[in-house]
Amino acid sequence: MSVEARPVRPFAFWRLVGSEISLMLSRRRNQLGLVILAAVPVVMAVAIKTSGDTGLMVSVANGTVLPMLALMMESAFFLPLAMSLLAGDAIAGEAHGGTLRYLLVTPVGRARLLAVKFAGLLVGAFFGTFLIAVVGLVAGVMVFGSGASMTLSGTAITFTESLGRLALMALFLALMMTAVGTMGLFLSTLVDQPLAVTVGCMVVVILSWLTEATSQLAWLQPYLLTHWFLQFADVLRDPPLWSRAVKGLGVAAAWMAVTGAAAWARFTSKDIGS
Amino acid sequence: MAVLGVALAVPALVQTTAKADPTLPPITAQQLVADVIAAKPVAMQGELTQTMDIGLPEVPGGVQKPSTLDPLNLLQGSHTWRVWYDGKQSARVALVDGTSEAAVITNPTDTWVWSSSTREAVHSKTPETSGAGPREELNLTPAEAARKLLTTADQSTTVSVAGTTTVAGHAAYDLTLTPKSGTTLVKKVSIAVEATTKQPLRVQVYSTRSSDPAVNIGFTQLSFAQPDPAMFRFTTPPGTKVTEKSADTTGANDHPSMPTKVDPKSGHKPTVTGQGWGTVVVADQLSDLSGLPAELQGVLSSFPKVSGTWGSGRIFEGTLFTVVVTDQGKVAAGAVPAGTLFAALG
Repeated sequence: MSVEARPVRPFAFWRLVGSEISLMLSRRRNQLGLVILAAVPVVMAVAIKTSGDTGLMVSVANGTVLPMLALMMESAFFLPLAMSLLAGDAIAGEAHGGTLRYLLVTPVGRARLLAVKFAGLLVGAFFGTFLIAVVGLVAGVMVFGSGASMTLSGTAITFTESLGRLALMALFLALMMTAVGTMGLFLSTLVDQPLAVTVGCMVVVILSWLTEATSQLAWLQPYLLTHWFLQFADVLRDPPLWSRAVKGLGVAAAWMAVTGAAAWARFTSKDIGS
Repeated sequence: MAVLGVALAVPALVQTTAKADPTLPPITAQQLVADVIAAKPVAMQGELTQTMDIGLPEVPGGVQKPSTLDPLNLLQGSHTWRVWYDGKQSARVALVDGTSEAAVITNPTDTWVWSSSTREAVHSKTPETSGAGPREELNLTPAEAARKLLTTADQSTTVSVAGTTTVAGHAAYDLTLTPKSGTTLVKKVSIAVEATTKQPLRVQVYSTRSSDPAVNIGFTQLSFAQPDPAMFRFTTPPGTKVTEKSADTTGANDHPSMPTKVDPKSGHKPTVTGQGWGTVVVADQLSDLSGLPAELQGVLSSFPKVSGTWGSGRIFEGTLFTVVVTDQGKVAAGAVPAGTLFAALG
């Protein structure tokens, strides 16, 4: 039994996660980002109310359709961008600000510190996604009420049931965004410039969308995260179509495992001078 | 390393893993064809994927591609379907591409065609049928597609059992139809026939021009359990535009005719040359090209110009068939290369 330099202190880990989250939420630019994410469903509510139609998914029969449409819109760009910004802050931001070496002085190993950063991104993904869902729901109910809605299959569902479906959609999308964040976390361990991480992460997302629109690259599409983002709409079928959503989550899990492991390999062997 | 394992597992999650072919009792091709024709329709529910590569230019749409039963949409790209069938007269077939859905729901009394993107439902009375056979709306299931092929197969075709395969977890015989004629673009048609129920589970049509199937329609998930009867009913949700239609023009079939189809109202009979897979149909009904739907004219003008001793026109050279539309409004079509069509136009 050797005396470890790093004693087992479970509270230290959770205290770090807590401080990571409060730090994340206290940053001005993150607060501004959340306002932008939340503004989209509100703007959409006004737009749909004045133009009278969506043409996107199903008619706006009750308030839950609005957050669904908002999640659909924001999954393309705004949500991945938010994750890219958070991932940029995670490691590269600390290195850039010269605070990373102080973090490493705390009685938490590098692997654990990386886990703290991952937990922060996970919370960020859920926070952003569910914020859109909740704000959208409030705006939607105010404008469109809480009556019955319909599925894509043309069957009527109650307000309570559509709430459940909305929650499933947000959960699915939050997990997809966690995968985007994990990919960003790997990039964050590579460089010391948070902006480079954000740009790199968005380049991957945008290239994925371009691949999606190129039929010659159809073979590549099932391996990309973006291919599965909108699969949450399958929850709104009757009965819900699970097979594709489950495949999408499998792809997200694989991205998280591969990029997470790469981040771990890089971060635990990296020379940190700043 | 675990990471490597996960990375290698991704294709398995995304695509069906290549399993060893199942061992099934040997069967002759004739017996299998007879079994397929004799097989009683059975209740089934499942998911199908359809991949078309017949040479039509694909409209890029990605995951946002709307579900529409428009033939121009269904003839190209990849599509996912959900199917419920009670084994008798009720069925629900739903196209579930992108974030929308288009469905045909039919039961002994009513037939509905539903589109979530337009929020329209077309209702008609289900026509009386003498037999219990599946109706026209179901012709997209492999069952009907395969049955049609098997009944038209004659001495022009070599029918063989090429082995066994697994489709959506069900062991199946691989029934292969190979054209004897060397003039056709069709290399072979491969039909996966389920071992016990003898239901066709997958149809693949191969072209001589590509190693990948030009048409691939098959189940990715399938259960022979009786579906919930509620699946065969349709109650129009609030906010839906309902159109009533007379029974003879139901839903998916009343779209503008494809170039290969011949206007039945015209008095002219099309000329048929060649036989079997090498059949060429020449029709001169389209004396006025401006009578075509604008959508079709646009497609037509995107095809390359071609000319010969027979005159000049536009040509579509697909992987499975070729169509020539002359400037005089003659149409020649067949599952043959361009040269055979030019000869037929003479």
